[in-house]
Amino acid sequence: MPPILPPPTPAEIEFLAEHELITIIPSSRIGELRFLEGTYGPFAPPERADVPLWLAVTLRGKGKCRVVPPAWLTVEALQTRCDEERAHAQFSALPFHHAAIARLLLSPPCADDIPNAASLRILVRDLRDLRQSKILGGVGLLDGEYLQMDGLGWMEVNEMRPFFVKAFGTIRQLAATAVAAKAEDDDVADHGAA
Amino acid sequence: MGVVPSEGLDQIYDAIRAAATTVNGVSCLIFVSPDPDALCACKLLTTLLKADTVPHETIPVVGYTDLARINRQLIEPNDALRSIVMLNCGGLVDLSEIISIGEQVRVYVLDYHRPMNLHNLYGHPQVVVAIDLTEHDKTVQEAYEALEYASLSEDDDGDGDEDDDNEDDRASEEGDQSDDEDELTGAPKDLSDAQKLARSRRLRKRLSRRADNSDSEEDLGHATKRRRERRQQLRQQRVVKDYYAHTTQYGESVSTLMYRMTDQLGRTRSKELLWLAIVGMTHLWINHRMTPSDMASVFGAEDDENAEGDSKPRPMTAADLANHRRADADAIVPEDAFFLAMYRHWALYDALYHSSYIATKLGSWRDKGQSRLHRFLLQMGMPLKESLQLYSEMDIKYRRSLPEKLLSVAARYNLDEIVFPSFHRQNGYKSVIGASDAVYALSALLAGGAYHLAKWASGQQDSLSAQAFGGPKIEANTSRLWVQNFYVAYDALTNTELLYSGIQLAMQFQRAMVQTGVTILDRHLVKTLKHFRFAILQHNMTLVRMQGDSQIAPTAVILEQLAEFLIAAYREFKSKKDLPLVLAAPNETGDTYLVLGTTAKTMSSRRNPFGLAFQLAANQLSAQVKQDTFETCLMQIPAEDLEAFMETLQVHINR
Repeated sequence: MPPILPPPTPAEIEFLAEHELITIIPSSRIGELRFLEGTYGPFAPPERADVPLWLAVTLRGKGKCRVVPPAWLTVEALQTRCDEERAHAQFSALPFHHAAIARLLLSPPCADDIPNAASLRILVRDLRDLRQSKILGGVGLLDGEYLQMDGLGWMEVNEMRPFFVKAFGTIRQLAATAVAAKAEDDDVADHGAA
Repeated sequence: MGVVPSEGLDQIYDAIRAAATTVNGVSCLIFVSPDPDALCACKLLTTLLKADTVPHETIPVVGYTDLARINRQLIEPNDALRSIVMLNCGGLVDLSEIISIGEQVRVYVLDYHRPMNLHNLYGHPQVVVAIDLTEHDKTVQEAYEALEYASLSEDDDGDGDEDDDNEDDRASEEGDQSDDEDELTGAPKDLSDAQKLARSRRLRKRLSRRADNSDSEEDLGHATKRRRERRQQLRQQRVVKDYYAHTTQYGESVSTLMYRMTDQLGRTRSKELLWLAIVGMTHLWINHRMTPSDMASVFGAEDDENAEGDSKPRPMTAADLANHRRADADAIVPEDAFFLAMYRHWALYDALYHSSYIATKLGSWRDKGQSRLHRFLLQMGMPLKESLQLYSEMDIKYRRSLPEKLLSVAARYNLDEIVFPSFHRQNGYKSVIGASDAVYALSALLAGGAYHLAKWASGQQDSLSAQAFGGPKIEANTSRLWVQNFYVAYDALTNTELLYSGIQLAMQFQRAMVQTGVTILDRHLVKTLKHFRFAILQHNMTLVRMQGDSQIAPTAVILEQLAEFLIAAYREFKSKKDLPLVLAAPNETGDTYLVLGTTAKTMSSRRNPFGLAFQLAANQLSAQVKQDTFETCLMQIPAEDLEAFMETLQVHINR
């Protein structure tokens, strides 16, 4: 069996999240931009364009575009998500990379473009706490066979992974021991009966 | 380009950028005069240049000799050089006389000092000046060009048809005129080869233009033509003279210009940049280099931009305000600011006592004034105990109601001008810094940041300033100390801790300034002459001692504040007649004096008659007199010449 890779670090996840597309409004005319991974542009204001997050952050840092926050990153949307989290047992529908994207967009240089950035930061934090408590609630459901949690983001999966993997292993071990012990007991009982 | 209106500043930037792509190496040099406005403008420009990866170098310059040294060291040997940006320096003199402008080099002058030298404005095709179009006067340009052309045709002996007597007359006239101009420019007299080259190039150009014009005038009678020409020339000379004699004024702050440039370039607005523009502008405002109407117009524009940039409707709602108070909020908030320097950072009593506006209005250095100050506080409903407390330690109840109370009581004491519209920057719970506080801090850091911070840092190793400054690293060579000061101040633009140390330093300076002012008033050291007053600071005075400690001459900014304090005190308590004031402060060894001339700045005027008078007086005296800053009314004079200088000044001031 090949060795299991260590789980990615948050920075690595953020790096991968930077390939998600995001809408920008260029503020000046920019010619075609050629990169190894692809070609973007040309950009002409006020036409919106979809670019990878890393490019958006770079361009915003140079003051050459404004970032349009994704639909889920507004006060209303996040408030609804928070309410959903409280009301239902399931996880609310958020993008796979929402934690990394929110962090990047809510810190400089992009934060200037996001309306109510301060409130959003708090909401994102609330959301994380709500979901974390739900995840930890899931520990009770661990049975050594499988665990299903729909709608988790990668960052969350990653955060729970080390603990859950270990717990999973331990539970399996315990279960195996329990089975073996039971079999022994049964054996003894059988012999006794016989 | 010659003159670039403030609506087309993007041309300048585009030109710098385009030029940079043609060469390898540092193609752009930025000369910055050490004042908060230029500092902010520099930060704005370098932000832009960095975003476009244009190689550039920032060079702080303090005066003309410095500029000449840099010319030898950095400009002449640099083949890759294409653009030179001058921020708040060099606009007053013929730049082609000081720096060698190579064939491919363009010099962009952004300077708030006025009058702008006409050679820069219209004379040299490679010097580009950014001014407001309202300042661009067609008649001056025509007069200048005609005179320049006339003086060149004078040099050119090929024109043999001049009457001899006339020629002599004109020659002497011309001589006078050009002498005057040289005096006015106050530039070093040694002409470099490059400068001569530039002159001859101009000559050739003008001659070719002349050839085009000459045909139409052929049919006029010879004598009439001559007379008319002569009359016209006198008129033109008057126009040019008027232009310069219009005394020192101030134009628009360069950081505002820079901010407009970023806007015209279509850069996304950011708080960081807007804040720099606000601070730069506030520097001009609190040093009375802007009239209230200027302030109102610029302020209105920035206000809109601010609202737009934050995408928040104004006036602000309670929710917005709540948002600003968040721990992680970074916001620029409009407010009513007071001429109460840094009141957020020291005790209210100290702030009132050391504010030159309030101290001079109440006369708080005298017993009577002291009790008036107490009454002032009483009427504000501010317990003395609270007002002696640091602002941050004050009861929140008093802190909240302070602006309102201050305004209501100020009206009773005839302190109507105490309030002005401004902004403060809220950085979460970490800091609230008013735009004017930032200006005071930057001025103080520029005056003595490196030395004082290093001293504090060595005193208390674990202090904030020690961390911010990275411990003592003071060079033995004190002549370069101001360069370190410059970079400390430059860093403080982005480093809040450093800015806070700047505020502490500014408070020290403010204390010293008021103490010195009071000493001067108490000892009656101000002498009143017919046209101006003057005072000579003495060695044992706090301000001088403090500066002597840091081994630098008292800086202009602090001297200016002192002068303002004295003028205001005189206006309120001694005599109704507003007279300009000349202050002389000795340096550490006492062999030279820094002399500053400043006028009673009623809040609506900003003229300074000394600009011209200083130069005329200096020219009459020995060559020892150094006018080696970018301010016209500031000079270094050897101790033995001081008396003579004052006498000469007296002759010139009433002209």
